[in-house]
Parts: sequence; C-alpha cells; structure tokens
Amino acid sequence: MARRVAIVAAGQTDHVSRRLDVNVAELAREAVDRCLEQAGLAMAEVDAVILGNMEMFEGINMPDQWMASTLGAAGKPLFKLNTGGTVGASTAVAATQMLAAGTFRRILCVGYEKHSEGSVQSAITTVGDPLWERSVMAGAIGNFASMASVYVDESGVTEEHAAKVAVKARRNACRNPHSHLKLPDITVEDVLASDMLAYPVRKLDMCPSSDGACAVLMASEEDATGLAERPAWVHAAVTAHDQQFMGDSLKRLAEMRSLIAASRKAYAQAAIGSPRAELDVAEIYEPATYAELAMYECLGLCEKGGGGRMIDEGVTEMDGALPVNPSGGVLSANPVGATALIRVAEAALQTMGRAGERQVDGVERALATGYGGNAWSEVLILSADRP
Amino acid sequence: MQDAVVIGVGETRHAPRRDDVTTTELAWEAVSAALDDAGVELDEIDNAVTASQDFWEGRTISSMAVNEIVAGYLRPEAKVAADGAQAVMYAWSRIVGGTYRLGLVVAHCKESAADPHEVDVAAMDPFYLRDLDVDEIVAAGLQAGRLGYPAGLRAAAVAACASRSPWRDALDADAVLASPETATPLRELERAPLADGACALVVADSATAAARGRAGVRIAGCGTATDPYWTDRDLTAVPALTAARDAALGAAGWDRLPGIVELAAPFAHQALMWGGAVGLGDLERVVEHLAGGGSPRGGWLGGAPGVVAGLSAVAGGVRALRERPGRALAHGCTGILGQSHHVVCLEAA
Repeated sequence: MARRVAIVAAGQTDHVSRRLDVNVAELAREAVDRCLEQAGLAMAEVDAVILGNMEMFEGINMPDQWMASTLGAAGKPLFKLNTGGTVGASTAVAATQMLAAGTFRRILCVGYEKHSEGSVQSAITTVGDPLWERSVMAGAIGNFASMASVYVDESGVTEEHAAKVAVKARRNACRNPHSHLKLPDITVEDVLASDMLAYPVRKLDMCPSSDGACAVLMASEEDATGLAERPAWVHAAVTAHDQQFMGDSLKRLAEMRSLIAASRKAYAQAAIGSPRAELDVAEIYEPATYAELAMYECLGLCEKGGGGRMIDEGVTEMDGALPVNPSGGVLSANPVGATALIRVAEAALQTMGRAGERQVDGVERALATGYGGNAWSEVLILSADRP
Repeated sequence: MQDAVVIGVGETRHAPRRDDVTTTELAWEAVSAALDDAGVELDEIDNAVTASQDFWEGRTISSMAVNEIVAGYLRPEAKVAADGAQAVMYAWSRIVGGTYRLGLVVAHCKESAADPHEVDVAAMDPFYLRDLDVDEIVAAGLQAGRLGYPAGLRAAAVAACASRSPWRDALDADAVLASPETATPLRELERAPLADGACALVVADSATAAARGRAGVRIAGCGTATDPYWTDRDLTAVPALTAARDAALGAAGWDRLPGIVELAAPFAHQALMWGGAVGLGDLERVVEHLAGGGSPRGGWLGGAPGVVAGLSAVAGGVRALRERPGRALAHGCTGILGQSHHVVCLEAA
C-alpha cells in the first residue's frame, strides 16, 4: 500500500436490548463522542465519515442523510456502506484503502443498530433472492441451524462443545463494560437446558439482538503516532464473498470458503506463517456457538475437525494460548451494523493495550473478522509494529 | 502511486420498465458490455464497488443480486448506498492506493419495481415528517418555491436535457409547462422520469491499462461532501456541491471547469441550481450549457435512473473524451433534494 494506516481510537456504547433514552442518531453519536474523547480530537478535525448499517433493520431509508448533522458529518465527505453483518468491518477496510491512497488523513468509521426499533428477522428474510429463496427464508436462526447441522455432521463436534463456547463468551463478557449479556454463573448445563430454537441451536447458543454503536478513528501514518501512544497498525485488510445462493454453498460453516480465502490472503499480507502461534488474540464474528468452532478451523487455528478439541483444551480461553473474543464476542452483544466494527475495535484496543479488565497480556498482533451476507468475510490483522 | 483509468464502459437501455429482466440480468447487461469494451474477462477482475439502495431494491444487502456477476465470489465487493459517482471515488482510492489493479464499478436500480412514494417517505425524518406522508416531490415543490426560478427557464432546462438524451423522446418547453402541476410550482415533467437501468465501468491502474494497450480515460480527481438534512438547511444553497467540486478539482490539479460538465439533478430547478453551484454561471448560462452540448446526455433529467445517474454521467464523460480528448466533469447526488454531492474529474490519458 502507498501509505501505512493505523487505528488510533475506538469508542462504543454500552450495548443493551433496548435504549429508550436515545434515537438511532443519538445512539451513534454516543459512540462517536467516546471515540473522539479517547483520541483527544474534535469532530472538526476528522476528514471523512464512513457509516455502516442495514437500512431495513430500522426501516429508515438513507439514514446517513438524516443523521449527518447529529453524527457531525455535515459539511464532510460521508460514505454509507451496506454489506450485511460484515459492514462494520467493511467500513474499516474502506477507510484503510482510502487512507492508503491519500484521499483523506483521518477517517471516522461508525456502525450502529437499534434492533429494538425494527423488525430485524423480517428484514433478514429479504436478503434471499426474491424469486428462489425468499419464500422459504425465516430469519437468522433457521439459517444458522442448517449450517450448524452440516458442521456437526462433518466435524463430530457435540452440543457440549458448543455449550463451552457459550460459557466462555458470557463469562468473558463480565469483564467488558460494554457487553450486553453478562452471565458470570453460566454453566454448560445451563446452555444444554436452554430452549431448543432450531436443532441443534439452543437459545444460549445464539447471539442476542442489541441496541448499540461503535466508532473507530483511523489515520494515515502522518497523523497516527501523534494521535495514539501505541497505534494499532493495519497489516492486512481483506474481503472475500461467497456465492449469493445458499444452495451453492451448502457447507457454508463447515467449509467457509470466503473465510478460508480471506484469512489466507491476510496471513500472506501480514507475513504470518503459523496463525495459531503468531497471533496473540482474536476477535471473531461468531453469531452462534457452532460458528466459532467452525471458524477456528476455517481460520487455520487448528486442523479440520479440530474445533471441538480447541475448546476442550482451553486454547481460546482468556488464559489460553490464543484467547478468542475476550470481549465476550457477538454471543454477548450484537448490534449488527456495529458488530463487525466492534470486533475491529476490540482487536485494536488489545493491540493498543487499552482493553481494561479484558486485556490479554503482551498483545503484539491481533486478528478481527466480520461475517455477513451469504457467508461473506472480512479479515483484518493489526499489530503494534509499524509495517 | 498509480493513476486510475477507465478502460471500459457499459450501460443498459434505460427505460421506464424492464420487465424482461431481473435485477441481476439488468446489471449483467451493463457489466458484460463494459468487460467487452475493455477486452477484459470477468475472472480477471480483482475487486468491485457497487452502488444500490436497499429500499429501491426491496432487498436487504441489495448487492447480493449482483455479487457473482461483478466477480465477487471469493473476491472483494463493497456496496455504497449512494449514487454511483461516489462508488467511483471509492474505486479510485483502491487503485491509486495500490490495493487493487483491475476493478468494476457498477450501479443499478429498477425503479419500476418499487413504490417511489413509499421509498421517499421512508427517507423522511421518522419523528417529525413521516406521518405527514411527505415525499420528495412535495419537498422539491417547497424548494422550487423558495428559489423562484422562472418556469420558462426550468422548462427549457428539461427540454435541453431531453434533447440530448439517448433514452428520452425529445420534449419541448411548452410540453413541460403544459404538464399537470404536482407540487406548486412544479409540473410533472420537471421531475426526471423513473427508469430501470444499470451502468458499469472497468477501472484499472495505468500500468495494467498500458499492458493491455488501453489508453483509457484518467480519473484525475474525485470529491464528495454532504450538507445537513433537508429540513435543517437553507434549501436555496448547495454548499456540498461546491465543496465536492473544489475537492475534485484540487485533486486533479485543475484551476477551471472543463467544457463538459454533466450534472445529475432529479428536478429542473435543481439542474439550474447545481449549475450555479458548480460554477457554470447564472441561470441563462446554465440553460445554454445544457442545450449546447456541455452536458452530453442530459444527466438524470436525460432519463438515467436514480442511483445510476452519476455513474452514467461518468460513462458519458468517458465516451465524450474518447471522441474528443480533453477534460470532463461528472456529477452525481444522493439524498432528499440532493443532500450529498459527488464529483469526478476525467481527463483523456
């Protein structure tokens, strides 16, 4: 890339199921203010804003236009991206590319969702092709259940393996002041006793619907070191999509082609030969417990079929060799338009040494992923070392 | 740093209804034409930026409809929810910054498949406006009333754009003035016609273009800016357009406007207003510009669909520069009453 790029600050709301005290614009601004406060910067000093959200989730067409002034983006270049659940990470990827080109020097990425004000599962159903898929779609849960069923069959992971992921996430969330689901006493038995939503996915296997927002300030190298003591430098920012029809990618989780492709390209860009050994922490977009196990495999953190063993051995626990989702992950907070940006923010905070009680010791290199569309992927690798 | 050059353009026949094709098929008409024009195979494309609006498409993540036909399988596609001219700016950054070498920019919209009034109402402030059932035609009437431009000049602007359009039947000013009133003082024909269509560009870095023996048309600079929401600003001014123009001209190193300036305005009075803001001069001068060939295809009023209009202006500029080398400026806008503006400077390579 022509110019080096870094994340210099991140802010997010405290994610909950319902924020009645703010509208969507005010919710997003709350994250913006927290981010700018961390950077010690005024909105007037930001060159451009990239906003990520799914319009239909709240039923607001062109929300970027309506919220421009509240965001502080009026008078500035304002981009609105929409790539599905990946969108938060898509804003960070776009910012990386625009900063690398010298188009701008400081870009604020913002993602938000206020699920309590919309009909999210209805909107998700419209993702399907209107002629061939929509009439048989029924929101997110059935979709993940079908993917998880294939993964269970292929890998041999058990309900107990998935339940351990649920326990790890909700306990980690207790150290994160922004997390939505904090369950300090949750057990594997609790997960296995929770309601079956669609086999094999139980209630505690799924992510919640959250109201929340996240903002990340990114800067080109001219400004980065002045804005943060220890910037999180972007070593890789890669996007890969899968085919649009679900029937064309039946093994979506068990063999998530987009994540395999994007991660391998990212590892090459960041000169990572052994991700399990060379990454210090990962914030991955796991919308369901089974997805996290499958993603261990697709990311090359273990061998194919080794997801269950990874969680059994505690590799991805806070005190494991490669902690995954110290924040509590998507299973503990899920404002969709912000969710992938939260992964990027959390990976950056870990790299910058600013993750508070959820900080993993000695993080030099972190991975963040986004998941969306029909098994689409974004992968970012951040490092304390300037590339 | 590499230059970004346009080496292929493709565009559909924009028409009021394209019931013969799905959205995917419609977009493929433009994409395949652009690939043919560039002499590039789809498999060679390393990235894509698309432009579409979910509410017009009736589909969350509306780029799902075109993901595979823009080479998105296991490759990067990103969608801007804005006019296609802004997608050009993102694609330009990807090339100039060295992230990618050969990309597609695609905008698509099937306006016939949506209810325009409902789409507009969903863009209105959900607390103070939506229950009033206000749509953009009503808002445009308020704006036109405040501007007070003579009806004859507004009608002349529409007639000039229609006369240049490859997609619209010729129209005279009297017909515009005789059309039914929609929102005082606007007449029905002062609004751009709703249309179905798509447009695509193949964009490459200069080394890739040269290796393929394509001189192309250089994207010399891009700019974009956003004004406050329409109820929070002076509707007689459009500072975002001037800011976007300044940014684009600055990036291009230009100190004056080129002869070709194609503006995307959905209403007649806005074509005049945008013309003034971009620097074409007073109202009469803007009409002269539109009638005299300075806007080769008439922009949005020339019949390109919303979302596609700005990218269509870029494609028109590229075609014009192929025939007569020089410079061209293309414009697109997004939002109620043109809240965001996007400017692309083009130069024969």
